[in-house]
Amino acid sequence: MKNTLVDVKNLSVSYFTYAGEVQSVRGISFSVENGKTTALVGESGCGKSVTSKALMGLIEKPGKIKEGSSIQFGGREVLNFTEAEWQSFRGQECSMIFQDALVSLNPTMKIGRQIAENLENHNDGSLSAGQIRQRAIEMLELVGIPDPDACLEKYPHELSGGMRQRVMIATAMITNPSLLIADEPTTALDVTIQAQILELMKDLQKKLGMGIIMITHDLGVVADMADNIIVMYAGKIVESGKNEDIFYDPRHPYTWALMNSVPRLDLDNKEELVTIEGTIPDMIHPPKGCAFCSRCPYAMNVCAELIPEVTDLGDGHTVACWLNDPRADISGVPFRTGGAHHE
Amino acid sequence: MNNRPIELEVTNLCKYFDAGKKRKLKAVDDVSFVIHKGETLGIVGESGCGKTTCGKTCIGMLPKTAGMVKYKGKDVHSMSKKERFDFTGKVQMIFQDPYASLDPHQKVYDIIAEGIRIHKLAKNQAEEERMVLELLDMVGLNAEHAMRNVHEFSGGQRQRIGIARALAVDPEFLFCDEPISALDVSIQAQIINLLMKLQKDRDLTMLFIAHDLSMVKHISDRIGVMYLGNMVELAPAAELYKKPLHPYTEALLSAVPIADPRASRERRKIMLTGDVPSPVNPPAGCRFSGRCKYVTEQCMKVRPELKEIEPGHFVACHLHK
Repeated sequence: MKNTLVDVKNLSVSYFTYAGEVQSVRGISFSVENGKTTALVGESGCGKSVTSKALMGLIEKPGKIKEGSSIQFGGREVLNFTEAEWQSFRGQECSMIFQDALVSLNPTMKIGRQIAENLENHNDGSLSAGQIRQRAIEMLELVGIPDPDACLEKYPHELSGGMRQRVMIATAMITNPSLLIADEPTTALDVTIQAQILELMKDLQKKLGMGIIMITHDLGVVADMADNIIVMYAGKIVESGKNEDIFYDPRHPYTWALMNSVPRLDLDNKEELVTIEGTIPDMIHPPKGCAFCSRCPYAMNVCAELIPEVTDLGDGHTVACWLNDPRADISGVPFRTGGAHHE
Repeated sequence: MNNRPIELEVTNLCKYFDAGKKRKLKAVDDVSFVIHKGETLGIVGESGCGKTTCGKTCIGMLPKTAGMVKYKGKDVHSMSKKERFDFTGKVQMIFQDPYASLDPHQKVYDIIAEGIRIHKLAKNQAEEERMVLELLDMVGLNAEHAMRNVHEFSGGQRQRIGIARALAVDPEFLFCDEPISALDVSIQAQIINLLMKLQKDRDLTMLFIAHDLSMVKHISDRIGVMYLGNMVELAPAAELYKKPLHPYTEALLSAVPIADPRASRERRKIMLTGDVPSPVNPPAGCRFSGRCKYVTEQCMKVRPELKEIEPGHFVACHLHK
């Protein structure tokens, strides 16, 4: 039935700093389907980038993936990979694009070399230099760069922000990976250029069929791009499900507040925006109960004491919130939950 | 329409920078608008369109190249020292980056009190203290924060300190340059709510610059759209979004992602091709002509003037006469 590409189970990542153990990711489980886009959403510091780094084997000291974590990629356990296996995995089966293309591309290397480098590294000898060059030109055409021949001879600083982002996508996709991780790929771009890049990513996904993990804080981009959404808060997944379920039927107060904290361009409404008071908790000493408890207007006594279990609402929609317990008193909660109304 | 007195009047303002080799970078080229008392004017546009330069020149932070900016009838760029001093007591600014715009060596108290001291607004130490604490309270911080250092605060809290500092001299005009773009989504809403409340309570006039169009629409009464140093459209906020007249405005609005999957799918997107041309060597005629799908020969040659097409709705485009 489900066409699972990546299966993450109980992933925990901590950074051991002089101040103590920063628990960036605290036992999260999710899966990514082939050919689908999964969006990881959350505020800065919620652990979304660390999660993507763990998938790429890029957690460096003082960071450590904790015992009991598992990441299955196409049936193989990547956390047991040797460095050589990682080398062949990165770039070939799983590629990554970043927020700032100017920083991510080598400024002293011509575009042609940068694109070809990824393919050369994973070349088993079957491709000649001419074929690699040909493939680089094809990729540049595919990502919509006019005059790809000339572009191969340029340096990154000669291109605009949008063009650089296209080059980075071409570099990532030249090996035809089955998973593309995009970490805030359009945050640094202007809206009209952002629209072009998002359209390009959708188009490439249709043609090449890769799965995409999209990390972003822009809910507009998520609504447009994602098939599935994972909402993270303080190193945990608070809610996950299909795009429309998350947008139209959020069950976690954090998700609900996120959805209502951005004004809508297409609606005329000058009401006060929903805000989330307070700040994210200190991840060296994460709270005993639900991490969102101190900022949650609907928090109950139980929330401060016990971490809420993940509730399966069916059809892939899961939520970790005590309001979904049948015993919860949910009068005054502005969204649907599994709790009972006690008048 | 707004019948209140004009607070800021900008006529044919130009700001050029030297780009070397005798070339000029035309950051702001022939921009005119007015802001009435108690109004919020939002300026939107992509990076490099000149919106920040325009704002800075308007409040005299940058010298102008040509044109005129009048604040309450006085030319901002030819004030005497005394007039300039009074002006800074009435016009304040909130900056984009709350990490860079607060002095890390100063305590929060001193940051906020600086303006009060310079403009001698407090009669004695006790009154100064009372004023600072009131300001902290107003922006949602408390008294115990006053003696802390800036590095102890989060981005959202720092932006609140920046707002308290701006309000310390009891200004009438606030220039907000991307005040929320460095903040997380949940914090952005807090700051926007705060600014809107303060504006209502104190009858502030605001010039609000941002590239986040949904936020600008939420906070502004009127919005100006800039492209490559020109103001291409100026209209009441709701009207601009309902009925954009300039092809660039239309494309810009349609490119903004909407946080609603169904609405997002049903919407017609207008994809602009190409990039913004260089402001050092902008196209002759309409600046947008190279990317516009309705382009005619006239657009390439003659630059359209900003004209009032409907009451209060200005557009600079040859399509609308």
